[in-house]
Amino acid sequence: MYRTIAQLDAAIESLVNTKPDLCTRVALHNSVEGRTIFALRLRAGGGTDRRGILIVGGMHARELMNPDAIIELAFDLAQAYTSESGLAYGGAQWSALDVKVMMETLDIWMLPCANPDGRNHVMKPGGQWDWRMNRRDNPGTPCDGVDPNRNCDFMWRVIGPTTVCDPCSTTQGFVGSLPFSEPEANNIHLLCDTHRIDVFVDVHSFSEFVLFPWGHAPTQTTQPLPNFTSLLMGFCRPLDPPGHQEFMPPTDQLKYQTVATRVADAIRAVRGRNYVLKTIFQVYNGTTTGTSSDYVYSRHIANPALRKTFAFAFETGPALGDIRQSFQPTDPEPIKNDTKAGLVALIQQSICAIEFIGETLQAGTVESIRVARDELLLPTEKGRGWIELVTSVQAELLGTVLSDKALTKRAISLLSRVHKLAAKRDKATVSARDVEDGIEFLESLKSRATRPEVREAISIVNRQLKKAAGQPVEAILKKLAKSNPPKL
Amino acid sequence: MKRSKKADTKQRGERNAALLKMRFEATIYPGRKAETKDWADDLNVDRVPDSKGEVRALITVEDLVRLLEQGLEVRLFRVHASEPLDPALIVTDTSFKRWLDEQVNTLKAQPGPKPFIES
Repeated sequence: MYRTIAQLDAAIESLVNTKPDLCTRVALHNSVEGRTIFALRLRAGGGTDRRGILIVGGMHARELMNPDAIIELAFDLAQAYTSESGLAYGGAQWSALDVKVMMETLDIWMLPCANPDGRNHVMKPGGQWDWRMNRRDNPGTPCDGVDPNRNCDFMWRVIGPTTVCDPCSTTQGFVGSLPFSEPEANNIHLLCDTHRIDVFVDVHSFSEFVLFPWGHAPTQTTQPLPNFTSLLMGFCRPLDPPGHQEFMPPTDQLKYQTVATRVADAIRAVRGRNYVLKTIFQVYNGTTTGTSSDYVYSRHIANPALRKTFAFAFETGPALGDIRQSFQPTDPEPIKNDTKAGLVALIQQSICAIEFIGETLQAGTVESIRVARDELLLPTEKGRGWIELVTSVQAELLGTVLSDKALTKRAISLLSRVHKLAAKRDKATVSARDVEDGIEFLESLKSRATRPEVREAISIVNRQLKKAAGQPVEAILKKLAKSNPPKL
Repeated sequence: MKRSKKADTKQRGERNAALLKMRFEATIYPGRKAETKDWADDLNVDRVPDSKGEVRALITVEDLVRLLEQGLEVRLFRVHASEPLDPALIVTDTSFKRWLDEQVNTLKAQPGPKPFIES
């Protein structure tokens, strides 16, 4: 069963009125037909300049399940937080502490229904169940609609299997009159420009995919140039040159694969559905341009002054023999649970423990740690293995640290010391006292850890730390970059 | 009773108009067209994603004729009327209110934890 636009809006309003300390509603650009489009922010506790995640649904009108799932997720998170009860979708579970950490360290933005006019058209008498676009009255033609997910300012008007310049094409992939001419697409741009968004996901249906850039061309990781900024766009022609492959730094590709794998793992835990990882290009095996995910990820490349945002897309629900049932199943509940689990996993993956303790809490910086990581560990597969080891357990450890004021204080002090060591990593040496402090802190965390993998990860790090006394920081990291971390 | 020619023509006209609005579920293959890497790039049809990588689409009668004329092979599986979502699949206001009340009451009942950091 699917909610109407009025019901989705009423749900947001009630949530905000009931829990104004947790939920804020923001009115964005009105839709083409004049409906107010709302975004919702969930956050608890204090701290400024938090990391942010933006979850978008309903960009394509006929994909009805996702706005409902996102609204329900907002209620589920608020309830799990206030009742300190944790979250469960089938076999995918998060503890009360996991939820508390998500709600108190992130700004969780949701745009549950990006294209309300389209959704209304799908449902109203005289409408069409298979309508995909918004309800733009295209001047000079008898044909309505622009595809908001082909209207973003990224390789706009470069055509492909689902991207067209003819408003009367039955493709339902019309790109519009200008990049971001459509408020339904422009709201993505607005939210990214006005709020800190580190992770983005646009939730679509169907086929059970977890997607990431690029969409306009196959992805390659070896040749940074030429990239999309030098390609022709805006001429209603196919990609030029035809064989172009778009660069993505290998470290970004690894991050996409790692995070998407964890999302797919969480979805599988619900009831066993296998979501497949792909690039957006692979969905139609052809050029797909003007998409929100490519636009959001490309922003920092087009304008290096902007923050990098890792942008994903989901295609929720299976491809059934019946396309109408695939878009609008009679019982969408199991698929919505898969989606919600995937989204919670992505929210959890958006947390950065070191950044939260060192910057949000302490109002300091962990830049030198970030630089040391990027320069010494990220370039090698083995080094990335160590990063992966830490990121796989960081959300739980952050919860443990934040639950105890004394531990939080020690974490701040230790991170400050690590930052200083990393800042002078070519000269600085790790002292016996540093090692002692670090091990003592990690042992405190280990004694409180609930999952065996977390205890094992701490033991592995501690073993490395014991060897660090008297060693130069740079030498330690270089050695790590050449040695595989043991598998958890 | 014998139907008038005029009535028959009208009925045929209505049926044709309805047919033109129908959407067929189709899988498209290169057929006589040589299977090049990009044969499916400019089909100009309403593609849907497919987990097996097939070229699936919702097509109109006009799309079908055009694709066949281009030498493509089109397999049709199902036909859908041009109509809105089945109203039985839309949440009623009564059911929505019941759900929302339940959600709101659950939320109201709990004060929430003390945050790690006060705002």
